[in-house]
Amino acid sequence: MLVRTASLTKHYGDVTALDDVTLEIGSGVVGLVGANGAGKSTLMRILLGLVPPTSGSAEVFGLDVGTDGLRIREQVGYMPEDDCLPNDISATRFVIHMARMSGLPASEARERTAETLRHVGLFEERYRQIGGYSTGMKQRVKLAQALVHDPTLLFLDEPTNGLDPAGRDDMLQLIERTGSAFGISVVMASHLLGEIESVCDSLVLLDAGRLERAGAVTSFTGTSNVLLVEVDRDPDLLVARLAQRGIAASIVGRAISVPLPPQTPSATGTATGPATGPGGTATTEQDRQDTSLHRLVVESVAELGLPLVRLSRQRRTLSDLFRDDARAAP
Amino acid sequence: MTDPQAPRGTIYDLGYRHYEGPRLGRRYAVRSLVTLSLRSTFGLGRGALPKVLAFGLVLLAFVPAIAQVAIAAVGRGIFEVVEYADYFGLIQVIIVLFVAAMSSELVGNDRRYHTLVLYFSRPIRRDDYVLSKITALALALLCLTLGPQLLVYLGNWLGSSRGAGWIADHASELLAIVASSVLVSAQLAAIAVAIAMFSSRRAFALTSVLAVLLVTFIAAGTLVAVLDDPGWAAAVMLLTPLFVMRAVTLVLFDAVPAVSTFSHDQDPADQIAFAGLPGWAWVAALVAQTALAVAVAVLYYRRAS
Repeated sequence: MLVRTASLTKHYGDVTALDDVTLEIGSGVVGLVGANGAGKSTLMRILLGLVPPTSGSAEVFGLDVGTDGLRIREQVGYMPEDDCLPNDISATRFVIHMARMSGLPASEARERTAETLRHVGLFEERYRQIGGYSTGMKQRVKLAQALVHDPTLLFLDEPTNGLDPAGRDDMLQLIERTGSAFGISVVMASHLLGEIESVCDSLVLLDAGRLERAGAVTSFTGTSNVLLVEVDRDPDLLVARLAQRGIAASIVGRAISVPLPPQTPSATGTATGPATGPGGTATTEQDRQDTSLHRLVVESVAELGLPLVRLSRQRRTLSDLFRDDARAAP
Repeated sequence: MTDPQAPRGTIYDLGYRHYEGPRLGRRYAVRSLVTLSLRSTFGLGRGALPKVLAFGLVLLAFVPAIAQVAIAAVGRGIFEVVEYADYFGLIQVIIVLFVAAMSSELVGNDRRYHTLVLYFSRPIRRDDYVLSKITALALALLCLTLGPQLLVYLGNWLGSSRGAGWIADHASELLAIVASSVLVSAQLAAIAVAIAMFSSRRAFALTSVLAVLLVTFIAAGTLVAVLDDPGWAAAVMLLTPLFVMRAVTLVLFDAVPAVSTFSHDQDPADQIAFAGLPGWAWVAALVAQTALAVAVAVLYYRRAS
């Protein structure tokens, strides 16, 4: 485990930023999801030893954040959410400076800075003053300063903040490669579910300072227990026909949703990389049930002579999950 | 190395290399911070304007010393135009301008651009940050305090035509030069940082430092003249950074004027003499002011985010 917290709580005056959070974060790219103010930034700041927790404890690399902050910070990189770059010096000079602040000797700092800036996609412009940079370039410099000392763990706070769609894709690609190809673990905070889904292996869901859920992204998004059937006309006829056969279908938008028998649960409490799939025999049993249901649906459609547009297992996205949560907790 | 599947213009990866070299830790990081702050004080690595400002002020601080050396060279030691004990008084405004401009630069920039969080997320402590900044400013100040004084000393030695014997006779002066320069530089650097850190706006930080140092000096001078009471004069001057700076210099060079010469002409040296304090009191006041400023700065940065 890279990160471990126990009953971590942080109050700012009357405001509770984190409330009794106990979690573990393993290696890989981990998403920290939640609305603005859910406690994502506070959690990162505590893990970096920047702010002390009100109560509870936290460890990074097995080191206590309160007493071993120096040793933790030697091995982590941090990209804050807000602007944090000086305007009046060049990216090269600034990143060299930050590399030396992380303990790299001067010559190594220069070498690593050149490599890192190239890695994040800054070339000739790295000798220009940062004040003249676009938001996208500034985000790259922020990532470079977090990466220049080759940390074991990278904390990224809303790394795509202020980027246009193309810049966003670039940044996400960069993060994904940093996590997968270079073996640097990443904890990435975002309020955008699409981002988390596209780059993270597992996620930690915070809501109003409380830990809602943690687990592999697949355990959140996996295929849902719903078969979607879309026909060109008269969906109500199909629903009625299915009802005769004992299948409770309902119309959802333009499609008909048919509930499938419950699946074998695969999610566990900790966020440790991609979850291993459920046991083989269970899957086979499941498949057989599904197939018979498929056949019943197809037969019904054929009997009614309806043009079938689509018949598929609905794939859930993280946003569905949040919609479900919102409905469940009014 | 290029991935043919990657869309052109988005993938820049030319191979990532892990860093296997040494990580030198906190002490090295602190040393780097001092060095780099010192460099930025003199505008190195930044535009032309900061360089002109910094080196211009240093040059101005040297003008009396250069004049003294020139006169000594011509007059073979007959004239001692510039006294060591008066030097900081002569260049007082230049020193204050320098310390105001540079303190707002050193701590103001990191606040204005919110760079502090990047420093604090590195293997240093919060105290290290502000102590490094004060140290860097004090070292920069030595260029304006110790530098010119040493030049005057050198000029006097060259003018004396006595070689090693002169050095031996004037060893105590050299000691006083070093001691006064170090004490004064530390004092002004700590006070200036402790004021400048409150504002992220450069002009405001600069003005605040100027105001606190120069305005209090002028006000205290007037007050001492008006009050015309040694006890009150001592109290007012002990609280005024520039009076303490001047007094400590006079004390270290053993140049405090005789008390009887006090008049209402507001000459700082006479006013200091008028207070009738023992020399150690001024030195203690300087140390106390410095320590207080450092403590305020350290506490402030422990809470800063």
